[in-house]
Amino acid sequence: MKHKASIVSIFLCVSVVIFLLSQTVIVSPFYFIASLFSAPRVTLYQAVYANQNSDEVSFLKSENAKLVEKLQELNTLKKDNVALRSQFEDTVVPSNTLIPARVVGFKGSPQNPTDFILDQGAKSGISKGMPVIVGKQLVGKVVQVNSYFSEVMLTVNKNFTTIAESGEHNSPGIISGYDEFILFDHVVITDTISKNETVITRGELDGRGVGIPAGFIIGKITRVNKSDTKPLQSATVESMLQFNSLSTVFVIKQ
Amino acid sequence: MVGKIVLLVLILVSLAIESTLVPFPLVLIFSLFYLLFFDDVWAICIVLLVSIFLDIFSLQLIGTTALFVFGVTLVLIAMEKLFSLQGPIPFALAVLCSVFLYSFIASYPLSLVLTTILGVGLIIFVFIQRNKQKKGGVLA
Repeated sequence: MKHKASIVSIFLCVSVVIFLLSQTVIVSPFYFIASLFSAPRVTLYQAVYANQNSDEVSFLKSENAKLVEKLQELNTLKKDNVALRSQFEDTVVPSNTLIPARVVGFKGSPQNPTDFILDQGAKSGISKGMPVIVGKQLVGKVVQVNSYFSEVMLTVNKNFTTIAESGEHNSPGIISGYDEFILFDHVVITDTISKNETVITRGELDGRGVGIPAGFIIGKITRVNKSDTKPLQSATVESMLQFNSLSTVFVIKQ
Repeated sequence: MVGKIVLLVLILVSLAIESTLVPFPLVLIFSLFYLLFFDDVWAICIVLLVSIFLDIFSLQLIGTTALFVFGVTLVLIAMEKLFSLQGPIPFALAVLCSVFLYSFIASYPLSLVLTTILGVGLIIFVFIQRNKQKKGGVLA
């Protein structure tokens, strides 16, 4: 018993030292070794979760997402046309670089993940705050990075918030995650939001120019919560993406 | 010997499952079982390494899991020594409490199904150990 207590105490001390040195370069060989396991982890993840994409519902959902993207493109073109004609607005297309990353893990439940762990990290140029997309759909933003891995907070995460607007009426509001759905909140009652309307990002960049750019689709409004006695209205938004079956995403390098 | 190897394999397999497929503290559970029953230095080194890699895979501060595993083990040993709390029941309760605490630290969701499976597993473990004790065996 005494022998065991001393062994465990020694290992506890070693753990304390490792914990204290965890932010230094001394532990970088561990990161390198861990990165070697990315491929088998990706295979394992895809074998279990990505196959869920093959059923008909997933296929229809992805088709629907593509159609919504097209619709959004049309809306943007319409807006651009109006802006160019009136010369009041200027549309700037940022030349961002996309870093493809594969999902190797997640947080939350398997059915409703709230965070993704990606197989790319600081070595690939990823840093905190960068947006993550699939097509024109916003997946989330990077919240944690180490040399070879990064963590993405999904739009459904309870801690996720960003400024957004409705796709057709340009009604501004704030998007917040609620684990199973997304809430488009703080929309002024006089603004118009309607069911099946898309909600897109309004752009939220920090001083370094890192953050969520404008024009990415967050989801589609499924229900509008409006009361005449309240000055603000909200709407329930459903993402077009099936997070539990995503296996590859793209980080926008800024 | 077979028990040791089986537990070590389970620890390695649970590293893959916990970091990629199911967010549930499997590494913690099997490591606690290993540390309570055996004390080989080389195997404890494996537990330490597995904990480090789990922290890297889940983007936690490196050493968090190891600190937790060895901390809980030391508390259990101290309780056994100071308060003569021996036997499978205090161990099973400690495992259950540490699973809840670790899930909170690692931001794992509380899975009702997995927690129930763990609870049933621990009850079976308690019964087996009690029968062993009655037959003259002692919990290591």
